[in-house]
Amino acid sequence: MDKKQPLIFDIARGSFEDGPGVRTTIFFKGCPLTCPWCHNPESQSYNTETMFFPEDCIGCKNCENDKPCFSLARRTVGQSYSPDQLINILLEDKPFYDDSKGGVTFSGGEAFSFPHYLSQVLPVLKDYKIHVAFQTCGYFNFSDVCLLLPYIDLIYFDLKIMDSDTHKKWIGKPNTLILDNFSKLFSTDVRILPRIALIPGFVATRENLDLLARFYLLHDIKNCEFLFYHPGGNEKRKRLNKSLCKKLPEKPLSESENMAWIEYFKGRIL
Amino acid sequence: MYQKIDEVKNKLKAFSPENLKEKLPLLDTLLFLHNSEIAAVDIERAKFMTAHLKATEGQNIPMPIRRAEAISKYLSNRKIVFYDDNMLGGATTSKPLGAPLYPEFFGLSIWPELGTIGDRDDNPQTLSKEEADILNFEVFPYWMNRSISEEVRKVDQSRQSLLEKMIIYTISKAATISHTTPCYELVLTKGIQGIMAEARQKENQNNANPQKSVFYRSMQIALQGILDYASNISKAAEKKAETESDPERKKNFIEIAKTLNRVPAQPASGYLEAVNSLWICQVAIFAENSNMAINPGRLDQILYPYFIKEYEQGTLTIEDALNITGSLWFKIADNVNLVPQAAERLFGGAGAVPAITLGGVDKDGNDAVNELTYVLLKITELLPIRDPNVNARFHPDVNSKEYRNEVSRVILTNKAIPAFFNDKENINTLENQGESLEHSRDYAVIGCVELGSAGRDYSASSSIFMMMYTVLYMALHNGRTPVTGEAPLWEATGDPNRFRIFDDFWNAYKTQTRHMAKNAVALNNLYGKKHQEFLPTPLLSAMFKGPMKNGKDLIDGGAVYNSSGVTHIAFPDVCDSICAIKDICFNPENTNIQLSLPEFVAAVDSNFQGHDVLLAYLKNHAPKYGTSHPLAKEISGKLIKLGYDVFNDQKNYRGGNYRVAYWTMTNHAGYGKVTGALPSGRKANIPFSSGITPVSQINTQLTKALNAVAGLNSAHTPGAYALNMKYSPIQCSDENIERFGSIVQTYMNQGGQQVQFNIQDYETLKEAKADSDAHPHLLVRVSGYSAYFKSLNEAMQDELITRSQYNLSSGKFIPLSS
Repeated sequence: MDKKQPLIFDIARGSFEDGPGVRTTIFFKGCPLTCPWCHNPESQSYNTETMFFPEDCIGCKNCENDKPCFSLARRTVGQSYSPDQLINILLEDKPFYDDSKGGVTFSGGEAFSFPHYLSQVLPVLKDYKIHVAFQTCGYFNFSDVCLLLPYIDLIYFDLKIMDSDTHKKWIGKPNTLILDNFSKLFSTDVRILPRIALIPGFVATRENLDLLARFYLLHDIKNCEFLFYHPGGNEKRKRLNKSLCKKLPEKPLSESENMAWIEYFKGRIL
Repeated sequence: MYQKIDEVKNKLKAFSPENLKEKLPLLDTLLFLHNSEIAAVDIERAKFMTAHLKATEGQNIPMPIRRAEAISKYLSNRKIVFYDDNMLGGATTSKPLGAPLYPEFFGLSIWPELGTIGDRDDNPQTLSKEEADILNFEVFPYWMNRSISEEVRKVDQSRQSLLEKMIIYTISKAATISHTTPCYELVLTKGIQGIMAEARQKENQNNANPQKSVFYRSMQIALQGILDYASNISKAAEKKAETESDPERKKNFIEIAKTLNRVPAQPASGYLEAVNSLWICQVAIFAENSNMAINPGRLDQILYPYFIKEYEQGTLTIEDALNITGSLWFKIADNVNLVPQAAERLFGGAGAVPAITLGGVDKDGNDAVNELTYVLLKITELLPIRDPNVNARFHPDVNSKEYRNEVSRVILTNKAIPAFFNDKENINTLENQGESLEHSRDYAVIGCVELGSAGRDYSASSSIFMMMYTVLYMALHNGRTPVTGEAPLWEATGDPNRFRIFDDFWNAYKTQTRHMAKNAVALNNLYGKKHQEFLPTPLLSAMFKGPMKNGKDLIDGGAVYNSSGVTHIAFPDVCDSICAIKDICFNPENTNIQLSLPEFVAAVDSNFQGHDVLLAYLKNHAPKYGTSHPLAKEISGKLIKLGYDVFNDQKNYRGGNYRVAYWTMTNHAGYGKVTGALPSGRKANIPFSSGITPVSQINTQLTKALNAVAGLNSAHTPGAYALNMKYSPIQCSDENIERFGSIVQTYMNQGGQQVQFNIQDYETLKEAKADSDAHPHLLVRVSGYSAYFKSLNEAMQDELITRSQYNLSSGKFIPLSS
């Protein structure tokens, strides 16, 4: 994966989400994991994909002539940007970062899948004194990422299923590398903010949260962020001709259900 | 400086819209009354003015004297009315909510509607049979050949008829002498008697100069009318007090009688006196000039000495200050413009747009935000009413973040006002116009968004409206317009098949722009000359810096600065259209779609009949102003520079500059409804985008849109512009206020001059359109002023619904689902 120019499927600008202040968030395409609940299923494959919106088709036949679809009935997901191109886009909003103490967030997919590319971008952002955050699933080569750490201010680190076999069954990979990376990162100076996505039946189960809490206690973690399950990814899965996981509920949990899980978990780490 | 600021801010925290009834019952009652009022045509002024001018016809009395006498006569004989418990005396008209009729301007336009104006569906303006008869038999026949438009027609029939087409250019001098900020400090510090004494002295000194002595004489005559008017109110209030049984009301009448017995004749001593003195002067100006955009100006600066003196002495509580200021707000809102049915489509729902300006820097460049600024912001929060038009100046390097966030909080609370103005850019652009640094720093917002040094710049900022759609149409049709048909209007610039490269087209566009500007300027200057002949303004001149010293009326160039304003309609749509022309017809690298210009123009002229593929390309792939596309940046910058250049070559009839601006009131909606398709992909009869705002529903993001506007060179937009942003409703939490304020600040640091907001979602506005009772008092920002949504015409309602909505939290544009 590494030396190849990565694909990016979205650049969200002016967002107050994904870190402090106003941010630009880069969504890389490609992830080593295959979470069935992923709300950005177009982020999973490392290659370009096509999403279909047949209701927008005006029958122009551009697609048969190898031309871009004007009506956006077929949307190509994933575009490559040279490091310079990306940096220029990121710098366009620098005044917004400065006034709001914001910055840039690298998300995905899995941003750490592209350490070589990042090594050409991050030092420049550092030169411009831009705050840099990452969102990671934890599945990466630590020795590569280690070299990037001086340029990173904050890492959101998702921990999902604690039983490695179950992890492998649903997400495609065992979790040993992830937990190992977490522990290693945690011993560095970079600020780590653990995150838990409360996916019912997968992450948000009593046994799993018990195990997660134990892992947190081991690292003396008292603070974390919670994300909530939303079935919004399913609509996109259909557009990508991908199958849906039947074990996932069709509706998000209620606020009180989510709060109950948070209380449950907090009760175990405090 | 401003040592009590924290104390005052703390005290103000006790007042909120939710507890208005309990904490400020007077304002709560006045708000209820304001919300239930129906406008009525007021003919009192027309009657007195006409009678006097008729009686003095042919007597060889100089026009300034005749007109001053007519104004004075009206003021002295006005019916004195008290409709509610407002703490101030004086009213714009004799009706609770009045639309004064100015027969010398547009008054005649309701002649055919005298029987129906009170019953029409859109914003009826009631008129009794008796009043209609007076207009019909006494007033209108006199003006039939004497209104200012008729005087102009006698000289230049052809340009006047182009004006009446409404889609070439419009000249607002046909309707008004206004759009400026008087110098009320003169009255507050000297009193009317002081000004009259000065005028008397000057008259004596200038005995040898008939023109000047007539001017000084006319000033005194007009000002005497104000003295009589105030004294009549004082006497009437005294009488009312005698018979009033309610002790609170009695006290109020006694207080009004006492106040107006002193002011505006004498200098003001306390806050109530200063506020009522100012209000009487505002009313008096409406006796002379039509009730459009006469701006009270920087009230937090003008009224500060009176407020702080009394506050520190303990004779004025915060509650008193809120009641007095709130009373002024309702007084300012006591009038609307007279609007004939046909104009409802273009202008319906507008107030009189008197602008109030808060904050910013003082003449030395220091923070001018004071205790009173926060009191006025609180009133703005408590009273979400159409007028006055409240604007907050903000200097990102000088004003505090607390102030920025308080303005933001008020906007998030009432969902619309005030608008934000950037001191850094606006002061620079005024200096570039030849105003001194000190005077530029003392700018006040005029009408919608325009800028001018307060009390020094007779700015006539709404003089010309340039209809940019028509310019583009002519450039693409060899100088012909949709209304003049086959013959080129002023120059044949060639058919599109003659344009080999983009610059061929661009040169045609430039030529048509220059012709349009030249003709509009010629007509505007002719109107100016006719104003000088028939409509001297001694009263407004008395409340301005310059005329007294120069011995010249404002309309003769007596002010310190003498600018005129020219605004542009449909800039964003025309910008996108020119981008599309370059992208599709003159860009060999575009491998996706190529059309010759004649083919493209034919498709546009067919309203894209059978051109779905082209439309899809234009919608989803063409470069658009409001994104970071380099072509859009280039074209928007070029267009703005062209607009500046063509008017920079022109001088107005008073020797001043034409200041270019981009605000549109409701014109963009009305004008859009009557025009054909554009190369941008906009179909025929769809409202244009408002002001300088990127076209609605283009695919962009918040920061991109803001950067695109802020990136325009503000030296080229000295009259400023209206950027209309719509945010999804969000909680008014400290975190969101901080977010909101920080985005505004960066936009300003990047060069943005102005921005205003509607904190609304598509659904609420759709609901309000479908059922006008669902949100009866919904206040929205149109394009530089506020309006009640339900009083806007359908085109304008649709435009407001369609405006792009952004989510402040994610920065994302939320598309309107069909």
